[in-house]
Amino acid sequence: MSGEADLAADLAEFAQQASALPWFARLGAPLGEAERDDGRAHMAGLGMPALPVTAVPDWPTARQAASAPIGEPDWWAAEERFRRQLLDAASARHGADALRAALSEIVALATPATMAAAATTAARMGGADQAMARAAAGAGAQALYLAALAQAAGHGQQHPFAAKLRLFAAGRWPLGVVGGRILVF
Amino acid sequence: MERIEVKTVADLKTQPAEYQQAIRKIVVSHAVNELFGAQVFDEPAIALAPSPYAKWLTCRVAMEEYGHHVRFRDLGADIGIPAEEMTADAKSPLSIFDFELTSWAEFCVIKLLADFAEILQVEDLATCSFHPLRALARMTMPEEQFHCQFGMDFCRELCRTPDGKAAVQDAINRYYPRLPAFFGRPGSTNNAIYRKWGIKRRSNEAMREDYVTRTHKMVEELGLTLPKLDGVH
Repeated sequence: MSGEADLAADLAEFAQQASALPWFARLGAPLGEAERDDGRAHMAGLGMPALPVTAVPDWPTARQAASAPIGEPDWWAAEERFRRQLLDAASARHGADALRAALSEIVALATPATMAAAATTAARMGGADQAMARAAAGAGAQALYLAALAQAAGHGQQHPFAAKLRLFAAGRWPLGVVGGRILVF
Repeated sequence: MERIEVKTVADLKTQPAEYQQAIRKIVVSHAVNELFGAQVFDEPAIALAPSPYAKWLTCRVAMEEYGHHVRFRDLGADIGIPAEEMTADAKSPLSIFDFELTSWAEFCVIKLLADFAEILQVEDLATCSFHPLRALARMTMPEEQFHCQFGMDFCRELCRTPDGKAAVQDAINRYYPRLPAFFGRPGSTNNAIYRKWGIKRRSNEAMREDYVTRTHKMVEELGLTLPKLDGVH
């Protein structure tokens, strides 16, 4: 089991990213090739079939897509399986209490930062209610938590949760798989 | 008695022991229960939520509840409460958490009814004579209101179908009877001390009555009813 100092060093970049990332800054913009690659890498890494990556243009469309029940393939269940495995591995490495404290700290930093960014972008773009902005903030903070967890478990940039966070770091919001397409707002 | 105003943590140390003890009790209770609620209800509810939108929103709610715990814990640390006293091991969580969460409808009802109960408590603290606690209550209030609205919005959505409506009514019937106890016993000594020092404004009985009246209206909006409770009208 490594010490708390090692864990803090492992996760320092995520604590810094919580407030530094340009959360939601490019919602609705056309997708670049790197963003399509990360969308594919995220889902392929979770074991999902190869699917096209499609941009979502606005908040109402994003709300509609995100409100659809999760069908097949169940990417959320796949993420949850990965999360549980990572939690076991990272707890074994660092100790459950130290890991929980470190991740809670990151989430606590991300909670206000993601909310402020989502509310600002929603106001600028229009078409989003307060609840949708909060859902975006929840998704962003959750993605940071998942990527930090993957790092704490010893995984690098190849992990699907790292790819997911790269999309948020690019100012996007990956919405999962809907209607046989990987949607990125 | 003239109302006192305690503007800083440093000023708290010069107040009577009864006042300091009362503030500590409230801070410990919130620090423990905000965390416990997030652990037993909000976090597990993410898996029960029916869509990514509902799951992310529930993530957000869980994070905010943890955030409330952190705020109260930090205030507790500032006023000299040891961290180990602000855990569920040291102080039993409220009985409203003694409910096994098994469905999305139950969670939505809990957010609607339990977070509304919390709003009433926070409303009183928003005029508290200890200003750091007052500031914290005011900061927390919009998020608690959002959590209650979250419960209302999703209950409303569930009530669009007969099965959903029945599930929400069933959850209300089973969960609501636990809530009046949340406001404490009538004639409570603690509450009398809180009011004496301007920490809270209302008696437990007044708050409970207000809660019952207002929750009746909220549930009526959904076309549902509250179960009858012994000794509460």
